[in-house]
Amino acid sequence: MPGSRLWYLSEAHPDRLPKGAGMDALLRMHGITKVYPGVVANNGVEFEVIEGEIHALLGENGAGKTTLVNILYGLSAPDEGTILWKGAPVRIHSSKQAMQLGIGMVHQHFMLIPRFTALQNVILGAHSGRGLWLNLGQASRRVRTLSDQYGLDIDLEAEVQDMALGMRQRLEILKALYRGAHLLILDEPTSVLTPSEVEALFEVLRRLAAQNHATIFISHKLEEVLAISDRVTVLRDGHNVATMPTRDATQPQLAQMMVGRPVVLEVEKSPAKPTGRMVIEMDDVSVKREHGRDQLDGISLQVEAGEIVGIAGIDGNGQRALLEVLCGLSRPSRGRVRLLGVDVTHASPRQIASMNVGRIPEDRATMGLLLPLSIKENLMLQSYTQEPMSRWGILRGRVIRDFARRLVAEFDVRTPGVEVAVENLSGGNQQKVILARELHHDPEVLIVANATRGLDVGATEYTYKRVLEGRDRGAGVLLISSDLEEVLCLSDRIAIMHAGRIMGIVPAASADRTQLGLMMTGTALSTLQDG
Amino acid sequence: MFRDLLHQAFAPRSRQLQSLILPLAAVLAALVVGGVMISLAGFKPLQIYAWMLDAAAGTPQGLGVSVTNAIPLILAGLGVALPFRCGLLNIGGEGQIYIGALFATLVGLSLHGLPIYVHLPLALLAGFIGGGIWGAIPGYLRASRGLNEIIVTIMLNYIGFWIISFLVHGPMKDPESYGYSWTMKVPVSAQLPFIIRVARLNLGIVVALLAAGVTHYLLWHTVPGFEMRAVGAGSQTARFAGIRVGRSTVLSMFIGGGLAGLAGTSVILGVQYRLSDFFSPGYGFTAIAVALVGQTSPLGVVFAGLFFGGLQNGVNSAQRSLGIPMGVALSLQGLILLFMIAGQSLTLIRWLRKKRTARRVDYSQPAVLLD
Amino acid sequence: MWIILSQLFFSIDFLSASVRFAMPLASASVGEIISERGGIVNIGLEGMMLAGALGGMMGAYFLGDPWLGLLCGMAAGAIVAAVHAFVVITLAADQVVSGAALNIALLGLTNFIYRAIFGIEERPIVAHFEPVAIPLLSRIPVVGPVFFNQIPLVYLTYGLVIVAAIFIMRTRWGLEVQAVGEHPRAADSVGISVSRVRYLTVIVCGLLAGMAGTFFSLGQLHTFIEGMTGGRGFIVLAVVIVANWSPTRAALAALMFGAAEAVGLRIQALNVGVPYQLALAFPYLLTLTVYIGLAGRSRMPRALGLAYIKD
Repeated sequence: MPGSRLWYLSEAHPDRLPKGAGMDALLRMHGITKVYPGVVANNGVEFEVIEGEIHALLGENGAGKTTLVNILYGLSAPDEGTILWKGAPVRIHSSKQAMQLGIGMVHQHFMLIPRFTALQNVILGAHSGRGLWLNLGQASRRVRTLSDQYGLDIDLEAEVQDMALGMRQRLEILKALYRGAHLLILDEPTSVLTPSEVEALFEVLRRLAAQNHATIFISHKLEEVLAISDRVTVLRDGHNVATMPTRDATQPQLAQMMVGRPVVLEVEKSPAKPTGRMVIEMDDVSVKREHGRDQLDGISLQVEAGEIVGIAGIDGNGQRALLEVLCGLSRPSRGRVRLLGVDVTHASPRQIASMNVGRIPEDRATMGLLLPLSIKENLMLQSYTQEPMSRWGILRGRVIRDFARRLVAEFDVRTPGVEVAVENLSGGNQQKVILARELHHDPEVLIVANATRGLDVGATEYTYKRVLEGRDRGAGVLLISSDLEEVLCLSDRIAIMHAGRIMGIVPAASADRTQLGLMMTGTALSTLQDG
Repeated sequence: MFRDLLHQAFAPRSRQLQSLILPLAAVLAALVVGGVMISLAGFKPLQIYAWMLDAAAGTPQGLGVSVTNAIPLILAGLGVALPFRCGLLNIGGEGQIYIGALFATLVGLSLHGLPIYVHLPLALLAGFIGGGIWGAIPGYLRASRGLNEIIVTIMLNYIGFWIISFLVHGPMKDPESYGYSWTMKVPVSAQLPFIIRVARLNLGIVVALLAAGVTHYLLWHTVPGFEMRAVGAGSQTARFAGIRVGRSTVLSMFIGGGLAGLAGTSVILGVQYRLSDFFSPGYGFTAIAVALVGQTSPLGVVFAGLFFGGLQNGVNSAQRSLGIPMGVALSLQGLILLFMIAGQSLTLIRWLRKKRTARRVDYSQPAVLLD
Repeated sequence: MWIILSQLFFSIDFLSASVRFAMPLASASVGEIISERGGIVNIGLEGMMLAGALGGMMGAYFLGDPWLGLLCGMAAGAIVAAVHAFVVITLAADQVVSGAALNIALLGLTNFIYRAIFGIEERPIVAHFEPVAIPLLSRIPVVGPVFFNQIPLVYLTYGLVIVAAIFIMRTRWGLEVQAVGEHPRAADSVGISVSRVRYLTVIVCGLLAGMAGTFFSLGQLHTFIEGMTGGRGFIVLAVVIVANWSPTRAALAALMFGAAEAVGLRIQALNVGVPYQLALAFPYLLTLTVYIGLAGRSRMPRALGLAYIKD
């Protein structure tokens, strides 16, 4: 069975060879290392791709997949390591150069001009230096031929803004092919597609492989990886954990390789004492998205006072939508939401903000803080409409200032004064401001989303401490995080989200990492329990 | 309390110095360019500037003219600064000035026999409301339908102007005015009286200073003012916190427009005593310069307004007495504004930062509060 | 009353004047359309046109030829545009404030430069453009004298409108300009240099605005008067909106504004009792209504007014 090394297939097992093996690899990346401040994104990664294969790149958030392909596509430069393209060493300085070599990339967020037609998007910038006139007729014929050749089924005259997401994605593929891409990189291509669109995409990928194109398929969805790829490479913490032919891999195996990690943080946690009173109730909540898969698909969830329910899952599987629904920023198309027994399905952000709920949002800068304003003003953001902060619409400066000072001391925010603008604080101190604001009034419900992103160990520990305190004081906590360690560390119960649905809810004490990994990548708990 | 005032008037501590240096630097740069222009025209720049300074601030009369010039600039500058704090650029000042002046004139002319301490405030209030309505329209269109306030305000500038033009050439025209088209004089009970006779300085300056004070109080000591600033600082966070962004938008444009309306009112009731269609030499646009040079804080706007008022005075005097070509004042205004925004450019700051090592202030000492 | 109105609207003089007034608007709006399609708004058009007017007049005065004057005027406009481009593209400052600052500065600068050079004596009459009747075409009844008996600048503008329309819709560059104005990041991702494209569009706008300015100093008045563009730079912004960013429609919208101006003058002269201000305000009212009504179907470039900063 494969260990943590590259497993080349030798000619000794000819019946196990993927298509095209025996030839030199189209792409070989040796010893790729890339370091960012505070984190080693890629650590001596070995990666190769053969012509005619679909090679899946598997891993959690932060495993290093995006960094690796960014290096391949010329968007960043490796600190160490070499790249061999068609056997010859190359340095890829820019995307333009990558395209010239024959490497094309389909980004997760499409780079398409909404008001242009499909045809216009394909030919934009592809003919630089070659004549003034847009020869639409000729270009149209070429594009159509290409499109038919790969079964892309695109209406060239349609405007992108009217297209379904699946077609837009195939359009991105067509763009890359039109520019001569031989190796195609697809970054999380199926996250926004409906099941039938996924099938259509897979058909296209098979056709590409049949015509000897190579594809790198980045994903965290095991079922899809197993369905479409020839080989799979698993990255974890910047390392290549394994490369193997897909037919030899099993789901549990891959899941374990993806999420198995030594525990770094130990937190003192006393057992939960749930009171039986429901503070968050979500009943079959769905949120629709224009053009594409639903953001939330029938979420049913309950959080009791005195417990922490953790929502684990790879980023982009509906967590943002969940947060928005709970804060009144988006309306569910179906289902009901209740906070502290009150129906808030159609409530405005103001109504929810005035309930005894503490919200630690995921994006400090754009949702949690008013950066140009002072610490004092950020601290009062939650309570300024009521006594004693204001009376008859007039703010009471002394009260606010004393309140701010008290909170700054209590939560140990490092600053010379409360008039300092929040944007001048370090990330950890900024987080403390948010914590102070949301926790000081002992909320009965606490919603925490990716709260320790970008924080150092000290700040992280502090945040964990405060969250646990909140729970012990009787609040019900919903903890959303893409960091599985964090969820395992803090939660009493764990719910896994995938593609807008809850795959299963398990008690944290008995949670099995492999099981969790499988759920995070698309297997429902019920299936696991049967199997 | 005064320290808090200073805190709030000039950005957080670490930027206090920067917010003084930038306007001064911009003014200096503009003066240098202006100096080059002046010398190319055959004059000695330093001599001219010295004359300007003396004319603007050297005599009580000169000072009086400078301050009188500053009145509409301060008010209109506040009218730009306040919506700016809410994230909006109000370039509809011209239209708001005219409509405000119209409302004030109507109240001034149509009410008779009232004592000044009733008539005048009513007229001022009318001016505020008129400008406020003209400002609320683009505010509402932006809040409810996302329509860009730049375009709407430019159109309303012209529509407002033409309404006044029509009225003063037509129904409201003073039958006894021959060459000029303007209305009858408003009665004394609606006029802003002189407070310093020798300098011909009228009560309008008090109105302007009061307006600055009220604006400051509104923004930093009231709930709606805080909400406006929150929306300007981060509308997403504000919405998340439950603030009604649309309401703050409309409110800030209403008040901003009202302040500009007061600017127009102050010229009519304090200087001209009649409504005409030529009384604003582009106050609405100069106000943008005043607001930005004043770092969009009420105190800064007052100083900037006084500066520009003095500048206008000095230049006019130099033009009259020394014969330098006309256009210096406007050139300097425009150049100052241009240098200001160039100096505030984020990319420039980033570029400069790359040249020097970034000085991260170390806040690792315990939280000993120094307030 | 109907006799007066028909006299008003069916006279060759009136229609010819409408065209005459419309063409500077058309020329500048073509330039502004190109710039706005690329994402940059020029509130400073008024300043660019004034610079063009003065530049044109001075060029004609010192070089003795209106065509050379035209080139000088265009160059003057382009220089102002280059400053605006630098401030808003490279320095990424706010486009509206930069434009407003340039307007103020140029109003002063043009006054100053004119006075410094020509003093306060009588304004010099410079070499200028005379109406040239195009053979054959100018003989067509009604349409002929109205459209084909104008100064050469007008004919240039006709050509300009057509060239611009073709440029935007049918050339590679036109596509790139549109891409940059809609979604600069996507354009960047296919290798288009957003700032280079934007610099070019802004300078082209300056050239055309400068040309529009010379309509006044070399076409209508044969000299330079302070502030002679009279706010038409702002009208151009309205024209662009009403025209939904299409050059051919801009020409039509310009005709409407030009006609409004001609009507205004006529009414003033005839003293009919209808306020001329209504005629002059009408185009703005119309623009406002169109803007409010269009909102959904507007073809306003998505990235208009926003700075693009690569990170």
